Amino acid sequence: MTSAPASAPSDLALVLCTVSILLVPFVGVGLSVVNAGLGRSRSAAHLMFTSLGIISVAALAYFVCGFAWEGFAGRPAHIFTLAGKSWNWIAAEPWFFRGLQFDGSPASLAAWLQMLTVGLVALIPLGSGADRWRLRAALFSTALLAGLTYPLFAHWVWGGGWLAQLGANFGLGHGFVDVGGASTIQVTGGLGALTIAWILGPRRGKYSADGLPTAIPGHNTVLVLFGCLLALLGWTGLNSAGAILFMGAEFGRVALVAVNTLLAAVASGLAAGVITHVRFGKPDASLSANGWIGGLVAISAGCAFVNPAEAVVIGLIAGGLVTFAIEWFELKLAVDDPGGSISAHAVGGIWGVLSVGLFAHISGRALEPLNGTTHLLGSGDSGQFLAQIVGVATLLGFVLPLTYFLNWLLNRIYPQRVPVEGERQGMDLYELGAGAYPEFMTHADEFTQRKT
Amino acid sequence: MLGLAASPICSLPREVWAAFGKAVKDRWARSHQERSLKLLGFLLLLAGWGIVLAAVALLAPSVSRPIFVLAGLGVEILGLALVMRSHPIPRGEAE
Repeated sequence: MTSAPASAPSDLALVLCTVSILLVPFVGVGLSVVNAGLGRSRSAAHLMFTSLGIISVAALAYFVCGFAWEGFAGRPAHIFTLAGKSWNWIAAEPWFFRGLQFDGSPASLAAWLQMLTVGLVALIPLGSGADRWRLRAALFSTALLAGLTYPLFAHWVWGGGWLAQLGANFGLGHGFVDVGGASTIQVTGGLGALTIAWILGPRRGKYSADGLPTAIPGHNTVLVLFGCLLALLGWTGLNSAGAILFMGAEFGRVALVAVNTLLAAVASGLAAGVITHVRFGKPDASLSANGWIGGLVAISAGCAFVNPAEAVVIGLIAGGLVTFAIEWFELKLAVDDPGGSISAHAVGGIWGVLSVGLFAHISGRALEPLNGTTHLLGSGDSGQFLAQIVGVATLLGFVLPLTYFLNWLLNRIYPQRVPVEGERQGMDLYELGAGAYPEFMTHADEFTQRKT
Repeated sequence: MLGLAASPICSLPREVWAAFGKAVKDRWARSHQERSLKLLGFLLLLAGWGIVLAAVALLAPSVSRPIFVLAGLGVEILGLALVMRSHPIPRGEAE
């Protein structure tokens, strides 16, 4: 069954979309570099190599079955009827991209974009599993995430699924709205990061005998901050491409998307810097970097629907939330997340999704109703916040248990955590046989507690 | 005979064996409690989502629908809290 007919965007918009998609890999580069910089030096090469592997496996898994289950609005999907309403729950495309014409159509561009974004989703858990997540386990976990969890939820949001149709079917605003993937990419990846952190447990030496966390600083702050700048470049492309492909934004709207993306990032990064300066006497570079990423994540949801001042507010709140969430997870919940992935991506993403319900102006003809989804056809904005809450509830009530179950199952079959010896040696030597910085003298780790 | 009776382990005092048994029992009880908490937490997450879906599908867009959607989200948050509590703070994991 076909969900709804798709209308074609203008040629100009498609050209701009193509250019935007070309920028998206910079998000992956940025996140990989941030993760590597926040990890230990003895695991840096392993982190970058695993990033490359994750991007490869994710793209292949998406090619094999991911697109078949995600699809694109207006293309075949499985729909059932419940309580008199149709529920579009999964796409019905053939595997291996069969049936997809690569002719520059929105569906083909969406397939290309998502082969890249699915790698981003899978990179996020690597930040929380740094220094102890085995290479092969990370790749198996990626295959599950990219082949099943992500396509299913992304279909509901971007593929004309039931969340996108909450407006038309149930009168909830314009349906669940997420322009650049705050939920589909960021929260899904962030919840994956939480799952991995739970299953792996903290790094050895992270918690002392009395349960207090020990600081294990990242090994290269320059890399972390450089990654933030790269991520900004890629994120601008990601949000622009998402606005054109999934929301039907016209050419002129992309400038607003880019400006909002930049404003949220800088506001969030500055907010984190100011907060850490006030609390600790000096700004904390790594927390500010996480704040920067959190701002990019938060604005992704509504970047095409808010004005610049609102983007600044969204960024400021994201910066504060991410800063406190990192501390909360580490101190109160004993979740060891070296890359701050859970706070930046899951917490920042959930805030971004909710901010659409608070700030977005979707009414009027600002965006064309592309793809047969119902963002302009709902009954108004009164139910928009409720639609966003339904989306958050789906992430917590469906995506999190599914991700945990799949990773738990994988852990039973193939233990995901490296043995103690691997952590002592460092992942570079243990799994790759060579370190990232072979010309440097190896020191004992100065920042962790040792058994006396 | 493998000389088991003469091994140093078997010659340990009864109190040591009792302490060892108690530690194993406590550990099992604790892990059992953690597993139960985790399972209950995930069940609450799913149940909360079910409440949200039911509210959207079955209730008219009036006052009751938002209340039930928020109630479902509340159940999910409770479930999330339980799952988080089921992962205790590790102690004494020196490198």
